[in-house]
Amino acid sequence: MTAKATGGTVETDVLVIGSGGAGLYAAIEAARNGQQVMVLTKGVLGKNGATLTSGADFNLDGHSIRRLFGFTADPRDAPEILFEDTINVGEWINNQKLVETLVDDAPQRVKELVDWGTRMEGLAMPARPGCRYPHGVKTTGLEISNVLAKKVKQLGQQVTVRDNIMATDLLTSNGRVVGAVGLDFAHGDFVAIKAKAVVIATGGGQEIFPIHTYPKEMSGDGQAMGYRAGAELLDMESMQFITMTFLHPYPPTSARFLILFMSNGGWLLNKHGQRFMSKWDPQNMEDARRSLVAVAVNKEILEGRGWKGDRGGYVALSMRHLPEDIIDYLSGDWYIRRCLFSKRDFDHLKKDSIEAFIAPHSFQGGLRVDENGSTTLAGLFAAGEVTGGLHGADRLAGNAVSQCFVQGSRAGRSAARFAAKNRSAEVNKSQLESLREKVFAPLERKDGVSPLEMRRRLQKLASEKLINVRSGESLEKAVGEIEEMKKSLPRLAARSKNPRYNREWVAALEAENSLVVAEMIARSALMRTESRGNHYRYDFPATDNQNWLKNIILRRVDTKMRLFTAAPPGPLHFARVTPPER
Amino acid sequence: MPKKNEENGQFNITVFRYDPATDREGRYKTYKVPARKDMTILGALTFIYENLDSTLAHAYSCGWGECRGCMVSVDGRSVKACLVKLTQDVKIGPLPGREIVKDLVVLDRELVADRRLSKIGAAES
Ligand SMILES: Cc1cc2nc3c(=O)[nH]c(=O)nc-3n(C[C@H](O)[C@H](O)[C@H](O)COP(=O)(O)OP(=O)(O)OC[C@H]3O[C@@H](n4cnc5c(N)ncnc54)[C@H](O)[C@@H]3O)c2cc1C
Ligand code: FES
Repeated sequence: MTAKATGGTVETDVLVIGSGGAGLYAAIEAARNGQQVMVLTKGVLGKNGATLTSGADFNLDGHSIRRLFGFTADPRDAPEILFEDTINVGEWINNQKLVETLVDDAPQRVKELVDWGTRMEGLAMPARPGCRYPHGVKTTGLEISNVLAKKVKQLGQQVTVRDNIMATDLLTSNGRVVGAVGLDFAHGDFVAIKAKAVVIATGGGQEIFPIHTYPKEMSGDGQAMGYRAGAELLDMESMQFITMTFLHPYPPTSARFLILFMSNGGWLLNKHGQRFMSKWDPQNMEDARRSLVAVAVNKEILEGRGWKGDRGGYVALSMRHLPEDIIDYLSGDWYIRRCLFSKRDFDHLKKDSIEAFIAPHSFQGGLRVDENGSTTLAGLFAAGEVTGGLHGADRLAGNAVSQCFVQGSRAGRSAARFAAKNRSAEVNKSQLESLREKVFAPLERKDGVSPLEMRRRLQKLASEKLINVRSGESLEKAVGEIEEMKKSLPRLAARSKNPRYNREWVAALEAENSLVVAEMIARSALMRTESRGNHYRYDFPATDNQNWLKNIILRRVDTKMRLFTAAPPGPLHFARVTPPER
Repeated sequence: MPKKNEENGQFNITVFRYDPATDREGRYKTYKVPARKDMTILGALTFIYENLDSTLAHAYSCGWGECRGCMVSVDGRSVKACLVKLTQDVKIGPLPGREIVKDLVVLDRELVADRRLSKIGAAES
């Protein structure tokens, strides 16, 4: 049976929103479990999402690497070690059950990917910050994307992929999620899909910031859709910042990071010529945890020990002290080559430093899920970067890609089971109608607030107040400004009234989502009166294990955002790893 | 060396415009974009869309050479717009041989050829 039309509404068993690693894995798994699947993607299959652009190294323990691939991984690198490293870097607020499933399932998933044709390049070397051993294997994001897209196509009629669709809201009926609606922005058509189970796999929300490392479609749609439907989210204050160079083009369509320069002996210097990492982590220096380096860099900039440029502050990254052949060697690295570094740039590096600044990278917070990918709403499942809980306060490098496969697979299986057990529910006609009106409103409104203006305003706010170094005062201002901006939402209007591929129309629909995600970050960051991982509070610089070994959870109650705290779930609750005294 | 035809610190970008729903055929329109050393073709298109003409449709995802979502034809050559620096006046069109959604946006060929999808499309309309 293919997905069929019922009065303008398409029907399927399992609806997957997003075609990154998590979404495609969920689609494959749901189809393998006998369900009819539809995938919506806000771009073109295999040509969008963060998975495609990732490094990609992804983690599994050394024992499994030896067993599966014969690569010579360190024999001491047992599954337990990956488990512990993940929680150490996450600063003990990870959901340890999620970490356990990651460690347990990653080898199977990686084996499967290789069976489907993924070429692994070898061990991810050197060990990334926070990893005691090189835990991962390395391939490219493009390779993974191609393999998963091919696999999906092989499933034939069982999986339908629809390009250029932005899902805008979930359909609900008596507390159960029963489908989703959205905009086919290529043609300007409203789409409604009725489903027995829905998997959200829409990735992060980096577009709330003006410059970041992610693709442009990451506007936090999944987090916001889930929130509006009543699902719980957690850890939204936790997002990773990474030290970058100013290599992004104008207008900033992307930023590139040069971690490799640092892990190969580069120095970070302030304007007094000091290697300021010595204040933070004298042992690891620039190779300290990414979150710590990013906080240190930003503090140097904010406290006037950096330089000011036309796109913000920066410090210096220098490699002059290194033998020239190391720089020549690095110039051959494919990852660095991809950063558009020319021969001239490398010669420049031998003589002079380059600018280094910080940019938002991955989201650690998101929809609250259990180890089977169930959210707090019946019929709604989630996987990948749109979820929270696995990484805690900071993410171990290499865990995000493994996460997509492990969680995608589990969420797909759970959704398939749910779909097999539950009949499709009736779609509420008035809900459908009001969601349709909401989609068309920015196109039909004659004039009003420009969605691009709104995005610029939010991005400015986020770059000033929601970055890694925060304070109660500025976070309170951020919340106030966001409340103010919300009032403009009902007045958003696209200037062009042409429905086909109207980017401003899409931007208007994204604005509401980005605003709600920014609010989640601001309110959660305000509540966490301590510093942990990527979240640094000027007014609370210490880590407070007495009061804050907790997650901040949020949910929509009536029309308001309500926050509460809860300890990470048991029964493993710190049984395996406990935080050191601070 | 490409011939520089920079004028008052600007380049002329001539872009293909076409809406299959209303236009019988496409036409070209020229915009002036600031000449900056960090400006790419993708940057120029983004600049036009954000500041000069919000009706321009162009697509991209990653912004750094991975996704192929930004591919267009620049002076007759198919390129990733995000990887080509803007160093002279250019003429930009959609990738040849594909169904045009609007302006520079085309449907993915493999997917157009995919019968499964056209069937679903038909069922829905
Ligand atoms: C440059 C870069 C390098 C990285 N390197 C690594 C690495 O080496 N190792 C590692 O572990 N992690 C790495 N990461 C992080 C990792 O790639 C991501 O966390 C992970 O791939 C996210 O996968 P995902 O499937 O959850 O989301 P994505 O791959 O981002 O996919 C999200 C999908 O949802 C779609 N979507 C979004 N909104 C909507 C909507 N409203 N309607 C329909 N579809 C929607 C998008 O179009 C996209 O298809 C890197 C990230 C980046 C950006
Ligand atoms: S935007 Fe991805 S390749 Fe150009």
